[in-house]
This record gives sequence, structure tokens and C-alpha cells, in this order.
Amino acid sequence: MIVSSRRAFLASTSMAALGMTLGLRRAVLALPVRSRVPVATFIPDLIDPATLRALAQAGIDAAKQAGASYADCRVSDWNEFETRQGLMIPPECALTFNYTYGLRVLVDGAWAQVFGADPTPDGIARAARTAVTTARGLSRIAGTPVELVPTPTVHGEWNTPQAIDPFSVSPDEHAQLIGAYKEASQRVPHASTGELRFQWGRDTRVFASTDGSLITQCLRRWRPIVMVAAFPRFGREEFATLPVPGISPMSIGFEAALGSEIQERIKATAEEVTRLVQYPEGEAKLGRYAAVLDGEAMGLMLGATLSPALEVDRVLGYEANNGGTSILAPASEFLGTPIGASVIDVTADRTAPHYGAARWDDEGVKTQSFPVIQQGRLRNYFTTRTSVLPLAAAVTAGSQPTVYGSAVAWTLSMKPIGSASHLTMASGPVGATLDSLVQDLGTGMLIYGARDDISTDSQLAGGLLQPQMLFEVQRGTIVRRLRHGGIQFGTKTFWKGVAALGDTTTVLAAHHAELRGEMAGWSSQVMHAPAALARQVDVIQIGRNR
Amino acid sequence: MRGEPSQYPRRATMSRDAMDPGTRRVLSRDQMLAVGHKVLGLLDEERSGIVATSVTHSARAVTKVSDGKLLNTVDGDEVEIQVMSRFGSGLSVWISTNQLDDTTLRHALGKISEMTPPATPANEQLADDPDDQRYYTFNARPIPPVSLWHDATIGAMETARGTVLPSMIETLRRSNLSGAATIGLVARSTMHLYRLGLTAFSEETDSEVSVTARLPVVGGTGWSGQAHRDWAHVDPQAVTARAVLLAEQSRGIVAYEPGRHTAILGPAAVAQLVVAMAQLFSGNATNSPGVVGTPFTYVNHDVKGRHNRLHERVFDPRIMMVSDPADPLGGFPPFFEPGGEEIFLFGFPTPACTWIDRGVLTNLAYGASDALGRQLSPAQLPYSVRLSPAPGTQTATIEEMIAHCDNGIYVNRFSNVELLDRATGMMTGVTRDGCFLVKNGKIAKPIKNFRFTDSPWYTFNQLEMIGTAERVAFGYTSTPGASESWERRRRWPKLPVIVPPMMVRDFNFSGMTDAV
Repeated sequence: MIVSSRRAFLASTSMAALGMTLGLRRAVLALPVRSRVPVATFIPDLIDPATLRALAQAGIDAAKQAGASYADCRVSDWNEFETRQGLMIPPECALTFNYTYGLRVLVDGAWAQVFGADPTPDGIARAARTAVTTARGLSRIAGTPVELVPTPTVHGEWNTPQAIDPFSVSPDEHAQLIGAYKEASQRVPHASTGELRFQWGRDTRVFASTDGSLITQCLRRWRPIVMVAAFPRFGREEFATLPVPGISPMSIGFEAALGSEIQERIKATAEEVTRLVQYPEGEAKLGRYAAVLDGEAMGLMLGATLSPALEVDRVLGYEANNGGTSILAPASEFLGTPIGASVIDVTADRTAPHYGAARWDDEGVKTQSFPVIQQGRLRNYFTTRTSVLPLAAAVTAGSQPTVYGSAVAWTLSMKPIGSASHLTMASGPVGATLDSLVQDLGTGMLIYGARDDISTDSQLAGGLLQPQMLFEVQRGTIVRRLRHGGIQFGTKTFWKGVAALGDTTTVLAAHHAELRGEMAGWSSQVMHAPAALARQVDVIQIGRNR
Repeated sequence: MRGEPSQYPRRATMSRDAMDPGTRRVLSRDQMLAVGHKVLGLLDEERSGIVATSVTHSARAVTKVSDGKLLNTVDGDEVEIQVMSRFGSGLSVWISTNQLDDTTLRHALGKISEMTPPATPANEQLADDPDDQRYYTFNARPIPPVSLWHDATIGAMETARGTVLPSMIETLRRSNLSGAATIGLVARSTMHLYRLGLTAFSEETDSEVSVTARLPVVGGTGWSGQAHRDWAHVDPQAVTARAVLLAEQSRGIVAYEPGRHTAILGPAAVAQLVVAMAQLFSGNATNSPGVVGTPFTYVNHDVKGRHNRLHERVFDPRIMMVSDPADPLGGFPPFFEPGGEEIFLFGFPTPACTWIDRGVLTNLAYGASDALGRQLSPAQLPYSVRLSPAPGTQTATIEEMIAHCDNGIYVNRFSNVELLDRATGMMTGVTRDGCFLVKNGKIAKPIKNFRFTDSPWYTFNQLEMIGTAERVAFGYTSTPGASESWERRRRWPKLPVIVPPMMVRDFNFSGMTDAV
């Protein structure tokens, strides 16, 4: 499973030390041949989608017969192939194949959900009956009966478009491609990649409901970690990494990883990060500054603050005892109002090749692109069929929440929640390059990426970002790289203080992954964002030399 | 679509009878052995190299309450089989699946050798070959017996939510507070099996109740939680009552100036620091040249490289830190699991380990093979640990700490803790669900939440008073922002952390937050 890129890089660094201690052989760039037959040969035959549909139908039929007023079921045949290579760790590959189901029932106003390791008709029927019994037993404490917003009944199929199926490619070709990426970065002295990882997933997922919907989708995704690192002096902590533009998690096929143009971009990124780490160094000084944040940092800010704050489960207080609540609650106070600067436009989009692409969400609702923030004003929350009605009841007329197909069950043991899979922040005018933003900044800070997860508070009202690289800018020019600086921010102040956005050349992808809920399923979101000039960030010191 | 002839081969159905855990909810030792031996039996012995297989079966029943009513209840079980095959070159292949049927396993495992390169010459031995006899002589120790299973918890998976939830909801309703609560019950069995050597098995249960009570108008919250492997020791009513009390005490929140203050840290706050510290006990990270090191790395510009601070005093002499698989308040499977210092040899026994003895660093964590090379005892990272007062130390309750405090801040809990700097242990996080100004020996007023930025390597040397250790609840969710490996964060049940309340000087509340 992918974790945040910087964690993976640090892990690979300490793993490198482990390798040296154990005396493992040095990894070589030319990876040994593993096999030249397609990856699909190693994975058990795909389960017939008709079997998946029959299983889902068995579940909801059993639930209905037992007395559920509503039931829906998700069945998944999930295959994943991963190739990875660390800095000095020998390459590895991993195969995963899981066959799972998740089913939820509504009985007398109470929800109950089951998931299981026995995906047979008898097993799922048994589980459904147990769920109905459980829900019925707890219905007296269920409170206001749950209502689901109506949605059209659907019978349909959809597959993620792809030109080359990664499972038709051999493990050797996967490994050679990773080796080529590494070689591209190492054409630049003192540069390399940290842990390189390709994860290719194929999820045949069926949804069935007592409303009559029956949907089959083959959802594919690519989750790469390709970070280019520069090591000005080996053994010092001042290494830094940059993401490669255009390489990010996507719903796409193997074609996205091919091409000499990608390797040229890797080399260019290696040159850029090598250039940046050569600046003279100094200690970060406490203070309030204007700042330019690169596209990755802006994407991570979006993923850590506004994106979760717009999840209705947090807004309605359902997560108060877990992840927390939302700075954008109550909805009646915020929907339609300015929550960011007027230059901010954010769109949620589940069309391919955006990450998380699907024709229907995990409640059988057709997915649509929709505005989340328009000219700084909040337009929509991430809702589900269950949560949209309590939300609608709380808002003023004229700003009625709706469902846009943003219900996601990150794993089938989790209930679907309203969440973003992919967000795009619109970029600024042509000519607003990163360099021009820095010139406009004059004096302040230049922030690249983040070393680790942004630490927010339980209401997402503020947080602390530890930049991957932090620079002092004077008179529009970078003068030094700063160590031990952290960026403390208030969410509202930050987003309302965005003064300008970079153009499309500054757009980078940020991948935000975190463990969710009591089932510990990974949520995985991608944000594409341009660089930005922000009026106010606070720099604090977060470390010191020894 | 339905009605069309299938182009897919028929898959052999799986017999579940032999694999039915029955009322235990998770597979027994014998059932897991059967699965493990079946897996190993499907592998081409000569061509598969070093092989390890792990089988994990977990069952969970989790119920959530919000706004005084049932939100959702989730029941289910998950099986995971992992097989690792590795040859002398070190290249490895991992296979992970939840499917037990012969067709699936035979297909995948029969081809595992095609994914890996040819075996190395017979006379080459790897340091981490589990069939290496050196492991059995050097590391020869029996797996200590531990008792992590309690039938009361299994029984509660069926009954607890029906019996305790109504009274918890009624308590919240009578207090006129909005409330959210979680009851989580988990059972898990794990087996690690090697072809010719080690077999390690554990079974465990765990339970946790947590409640957040919120004032009707935005202005304060209170949180309380309790965790125990035996549900019979959990008191949901007491948890609810404490959360309500903290919320009531949070009426009239005011802002207070950030800065360095004396802090009374409740166990739930101390626990978040301790969990984030665990990875910095890594022996490799501490000793290895060319890496940033840890706070235990002794940088003396020695031309031979860095030294560590073993046998030096690193914390206040009143502090002990011990990881004991047989700890009566927690305990953990007594062998290496994924997510720690050991990267391949899961299942190798790990003894009890004293990390800090009266403030002195006495051990660092090493995996099985690395410990062998260094002639040291292997030990997992202290993700499960007891931090307690040293024998003979005078202890104090939170109330006594407050009574002895002229000017300070009482913190119920931290959350979103992130490790900022590995070299110094600098961390950041926020206070949550109960933060109070203490003046002249009394709670003076509730105050707004803070962000803190500090290092336990500083904080644990500013100790004024220390209490009795207790097991802490984290809430049945991933600890957001905690600096654990992903394998640890997705592990259910969470590993027990047992810590006391502490009163410390000069804790750095670096800024206010608007979060309530």
C-alpha cells in the first residue's frame, strides 16, 4: 500500500543503512530477469463478473427477505501488482488479490453493515441476515429514521479506458521501466530517485441495491511514487526531493508510464532539485511572511484542510469522536459564502484519467464533475445519499446540497462516505510562472512540497507544514535555503489570503493518503494545483543543530 | 451480463467447514496450521528459496453513536495470507491474498518461483535465513507464554452494544450535550510459519470505549476513553460520565497566551508522545553513519563514526520504559510483526525489553538478523510499551498535580502528533477535548486549544511529578498523524500503550488554534 512519499523516502534511507549493515549486495540498475510472461499469468483467473453479480444479488435478496427496508452490496475482485526499488534495497515485487464484499442494511431506521472473508452465496446471505437482526435490535436507539435521497435505478457496466493493460506486461518489463527511471535521474551528478514504486490495481466491483440497481465496473488505477532526490553531501540531512511533473496517481493504463519524454522530465527534475540544494544555508527565523508555495505544497494544503473539511460526515459531527469535525460547519453558515480568495476555483472530477475515475459511485449514483469552490465561495460539500438530506435540512433556501456521486467506500469493510477522489484547482493567467510569482513576492518565503503529512487540528482550523525545501527570498531572488523552518497557518486566513495563482506550467499533483475510520482503510486522493502567492504564513523553528 | 455464457473458468469452491472458527470468531491454532501447511505444500520446494508464510484472521464489531443516536454498526472478519519468497540475491516476491481455495492458491503459489531469479550457490548462506542454526542457538529462547485472549470480549461482540449503548446515550441526553461514542471489539489470530523452522502463533482480543461530549453551542468538548483486552474490565458508564464532566468544565472557554508553561499531561496526552517516539529507538537509525540519526545518536565528531548513548542517562531518573509481552495491563504477541525493525523474519521471538531504566538508555531495537550480527538481543520497536515511575518513586494523581501547580496548563489529550525532526525528536500536535488553566492549585478556567512543538527528549527531563501508569484508549480509528509505519497503523487491535500522567516544566505551547 502506498504511504506518503516522504515517509517512503525516509524509510528507504534507513533501509539503505540496514542494507549496508547486513552486507546485502548493492542493487544494480540492470534488474535481473524475473519473467517475460505477462503479470496476468501469475494472478488467478479473474472471477466471472456474473459470479460477482450473483453474489451481490444473493446478499440483498437475503436482506430483503429478512426484513430490511433497504440494502446495498458491493463485491470486489481486486488484483494489484507492485514493483518497487529502494535506494540500495534490492528490487521487489508483490502481488495482491482479494475477493471481498461489504453489505449494509437499513431496518427500522437503523444501519448495520457487514463484511466478510467468505464470499459465497451462503456466506453472504448468512451475513445479511445477521446484519438485519443486529439493526433491528438496535433500532430503538437509532433516533430519527434514516432517509436516502432517491436516485435513478441503474443497470450498467463501465471500464476505465486504457490503451495498454499493465497486467499484459511482463514483470521484467515493469522492472526495466523502473530501472530506466532511476537511470534518467542518475544522469545528473548527486541526484537519484528515492524509493521507486509502481502500483497497478484492477478492481472489478459490482454494486447492487434493493432499489434495483446492478452495476459492474472495472476500475483501474496507477499509483506511482517517483521522487527525484539530490544529495549535495552524502550523509547530511539536507537532501531534498521534488515530484516529477505529470507523474501522479491516475486511473489509466500502462501507457501513462511509457515514453522518452517522461525520462527527460525526470532528468530535468533532477537538474532542478540539484540546483536548489546548492544554495547557501541558514536557519529559519521566526516571523510572519508572504510566501510562494509550489503546486505540490498547494495541493497538499488543499488535501489536508479544505478537502476533509467538506466531508459531510465531519460537518454533521459524525466523526467527532474519531477524525474530528469541520471548520466549515454548520453548513447553513458557510454554503455559498466566501471561504477562500476570489481566485480560488476547485472542481471535483471523477472522469478518467483522473484518479478514482468511475461512472457510478459506491452508492450507485452517477458521478459528475462539480464545482466545490467557485471564485472563493463554497458551492458544494461531499455528500452521500444518506447525509445529503440532513445537510439540506440545515441550509438556507437557494443553496440546496445535492449528490454528485462522491460516495466512496475506500475498502469494502467501510461504509461509503462523501469524499473527494480527485480535485483540480484552476490555474492562473498565462505567464504567471513560478519565477514570476517569486519576483512578485519580493521579500518572503518560497515553499516546496512537504516532508511529511501536514499536521492539522481536529477541526481543520489550522496546522503546521514542514516544507520539503524552504527558501528565503529577497527582492524577488532566492538568497538562501533555510533549515528547521515550519509553516504554521490558520486555514481560513491562509485560503482567504491567496493573492495570485501560477499558470499551467506550475501545476503539480499532490497525493494525500491516510488511514480512515475504525476499519483502517486507506483513503487516497489526488489534488492538482498551481503554485500560489499567499499573503501570510508564519514561520516557526521546528528543529535545531546538534 | 446475466444469461451470457461464461468465458471464465470455474473456480473450485472452498470448503469452509474446516475453516469455520465458530463462536471463537477467528481461526484457532490448529486451523491456522492447516492453512499454513497447505500454503507451504503448494510451493516448489527447490525453486522457492527462503519462504515464509503469515496468516492473519481478524474479526471486528464496531458501533458508532452520534448526536445521541446510533450512527452505524459494523461487523465482519478478514483473512490475510502473505507469502514471501526470496533467493540469495535478496530479491523477493510477496503474495498477499484473502482467498483460501485450492485453485487460487495453487495458481498463484505454483508460479512464485517464476517471479524470482534462480537460487544462489548452495554454500552461500544469508544472515537472515530462518533455517540458519545460528538463530536457534544464539536467539534460543522459548516464546514466552502470554495471555491476550479473553472470552468475555468475544461474548461482548454479540451483546455489548445492546446492553451498554442505551445507558450511555441516556447519560448524554440527560446532560443536554451532543455526544459521539465508539465501542470497538476485536479478535485476532496470527501465525507465522517457515518451511523447516519457526512457527509462531498468537491470539488476542481487545476492546475500547471512547466518548466525546460537546457543548450545544460551539465552545468546548470533553473526551474520555478506556481500553482493555478483557471487556469485563471496561466501564462504559464511567467513560461517559468523565467525558460529560470535562465538557461541562469547558464552558466559557477563553484564550490564553501561548508559550512555555508548566503542563499537567493526562495519560492520553503522554501516550501520543510515546507512540511517536517509538521509531526513534531503532538501533540502525541511531547507529548508522550517513543518516540523520536519532536523539540517542551521540555526535562527537568521532572519525570512526557516531556513537549511541547507550548506558547514558537520557531522561529523568524517575522514568522507566519497558516492553513486556506478558504485561498484565496489555501485553502483545511475543514475536516480530510487520512494521518494526524486522523486515523479513516475522515470527521470531522477542523477549521483554527494558528501554529506559531509571532514566538510563539500556537497549535499542534490532531485528533478528541484525541482532545476530551484533551479538545483541533482538527487540521490536516499542510500539507497545509501559512508561512508569521507577520503583520507590513517589507518585501523584492528576488532582494532586493540580493542587501542587501554581501556574500551569492541564491537557487532557493530544492529537495529530507528527514527528518533525528525527535527530532531536521534535514533535508537533494539538491539544484536544479538554484544556484548562491551573492557578494556585485549582482549575481556574477552560482555555482554547494549543499547538505544541516540543521534544520528549526535553520534556521527559523536565519532570516535576509522575503518576501511576494506566492503559490508554486511542479511539477506534487510526491515530491521525502519529508517526507509525503503515503496517502498525492498519493493525487491529492497536497495541497497548501504558503511561502515567506527568507534570512537566517549560512545555512549549507554540501557538493557539481555533479548533474547539
